[in-house]
Amino acid sequence: MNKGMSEIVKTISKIVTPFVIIFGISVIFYGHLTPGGGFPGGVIISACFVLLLLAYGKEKVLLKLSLYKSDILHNLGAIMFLSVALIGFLGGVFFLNIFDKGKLFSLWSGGNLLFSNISIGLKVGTSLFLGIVLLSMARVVYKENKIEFFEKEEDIK
Amino acid sequence: MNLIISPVILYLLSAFLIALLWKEYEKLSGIACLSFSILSLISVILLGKYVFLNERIVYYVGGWEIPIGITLMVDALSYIFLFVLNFILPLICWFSLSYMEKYTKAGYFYVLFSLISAGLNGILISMDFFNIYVFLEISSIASYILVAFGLRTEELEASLKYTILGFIGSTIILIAIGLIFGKTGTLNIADFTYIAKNINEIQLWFIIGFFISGFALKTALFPFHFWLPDAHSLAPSPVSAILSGLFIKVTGFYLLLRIITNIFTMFPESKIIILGLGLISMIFGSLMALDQTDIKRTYAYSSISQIGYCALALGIGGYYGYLGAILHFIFHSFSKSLLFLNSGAIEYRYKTTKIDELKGLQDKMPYTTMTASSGMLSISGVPPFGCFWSKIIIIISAIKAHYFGIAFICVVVSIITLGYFLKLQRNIFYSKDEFKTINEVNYNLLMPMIILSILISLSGLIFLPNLKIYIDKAVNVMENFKYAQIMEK
Repeated sequence: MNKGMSEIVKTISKIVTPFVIIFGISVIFYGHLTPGGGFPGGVIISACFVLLLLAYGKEKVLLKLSLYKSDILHNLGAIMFLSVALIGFLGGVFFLNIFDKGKLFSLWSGGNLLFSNISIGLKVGTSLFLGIVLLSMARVVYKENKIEFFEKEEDIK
Repeated sequence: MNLIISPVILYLLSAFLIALLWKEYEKLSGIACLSFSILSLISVILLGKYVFLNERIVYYVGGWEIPIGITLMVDALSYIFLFVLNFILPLICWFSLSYMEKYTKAGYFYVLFSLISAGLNGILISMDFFNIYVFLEISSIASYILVAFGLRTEELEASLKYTILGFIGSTIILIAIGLIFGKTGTLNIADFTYIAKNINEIQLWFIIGFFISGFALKTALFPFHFWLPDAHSLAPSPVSAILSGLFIKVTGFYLLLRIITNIFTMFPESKIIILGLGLISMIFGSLMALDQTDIKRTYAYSSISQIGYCALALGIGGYYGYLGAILHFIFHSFSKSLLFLNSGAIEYRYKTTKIDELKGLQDKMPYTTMTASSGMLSISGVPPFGCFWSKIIIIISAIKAHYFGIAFICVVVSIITLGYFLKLQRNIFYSKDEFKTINEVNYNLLMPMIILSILISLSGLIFLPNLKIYIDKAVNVMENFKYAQIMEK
């Protein structure tokens, strides 16, 4: 078991991870009230998974959030954002904020802003994670006028 | 007026639904993409009635008024671009159903195809500088990936070159948008033109300089053209058809046209710059096309030459100049898409597009030969076909503006165009070759080409007189419309 970094890094990232994820979620959910929003929150969540990737190696992280799952989640985020925009058609105009605005400075005070922040967070978090995992997985080799991709280092040759 | 935004919604929905559900199933994703593109064509046709009755449609996204929210607008000019775009896209999608079989992961092709289409539609409907930039980047980034779709080394190299130059162009445009925001505090085009009346003109010179160089890079006018031949000739053929027939015209030419005629009306000098760039790229493109050994490379240089005609007509200005620019855009879009699809059909059977290795296509692929001939004759300006009418109007406009030399050069370049296409015709189509047995391509590849070639053959005689009132409205927009009128109401 010599994959990943040293025991200190592993233990610290294990302790830190849940707090980072909760912080990311709170940045997403309070995006319309405090600085932040879908994009920064998504980046924080994906940074947490990148931290696990660096500490433990990609096999362990892909057990938590597989490529298939994150692929589905980031497309769902895009479709959710589009449907938030499409819900406005119920009031007659694209992107119309038809939800109840609620009490000022409470969580439910922005109408559709909450849903759009959540969907952006989903999209940004998973697609940034996908990009970094793919960079860590791919070994690109230029061979006989052709470019090939390998997943393991042993296959190159 | 929710129809105005429906093409963008439909194409975005198509992109993400295919990516979510059907990207493993290549046939199904192709059919889904085709049906979404046909739906968007129907919505654009339905939109036409309202545009021509009301002169223009202004749409406030989310119900927010002009300086605050995003505003969309379609008038007669952008409607013509929208119609041509949405008419050609389903045909290209139909063509790719069979053509993309040889590629693995064709599902991703339809995702990127939908994204590039959404971006191009979005550019045409938005009335906001930053919104235009966002849609420009959506379509540009999708096109960088599509150029490298085959993953061969040359394609990756062409895509890298295209990506770097495309990002330089986008960055120049973004700097201009930033300067606009810093100077006026607004990004809405109508609001900007309303405020810009009070600003010292010298301060706007920098902005329009950045805009012209950025959009000239996207249009591939002469000094900025060198990424185009590689990118357009090495991409898969349907992608070349989008890029050459639609992409450079919408992201480059349409925005250049708006900038010069509707937004920065206070600089008539900028038209002279466009005229000069157009003239040089017209001559240069046709001379370079004479010497190519690959069909698609010839077509790519021909695109540079023909977009030069459009820019030249825009630079000459006046009623005939603008009419010629619009008509040449329409007919060249149809003809160049047809020619690139045609080269795709040849590549589908022969597996090559080198001129030396192709011979005697008239016996083996008679329909492909006929459609290729109609496209080539159209672009070189032979009478009954489409581009003849636009070219003769451009020449008339040059004579009316007393540019006799330019009118003469237009005729000469047209003859050179006929020259390099006749070379292709003689070597590839009307020659003898008994050795290879090759059949005509199938129905899916043939029908889009036949539809396009019928349109460009009959357009000048049958459709043009009936459509003249609509095109006149678009020319009227270019001559008289200023965005500030929307604010004054």
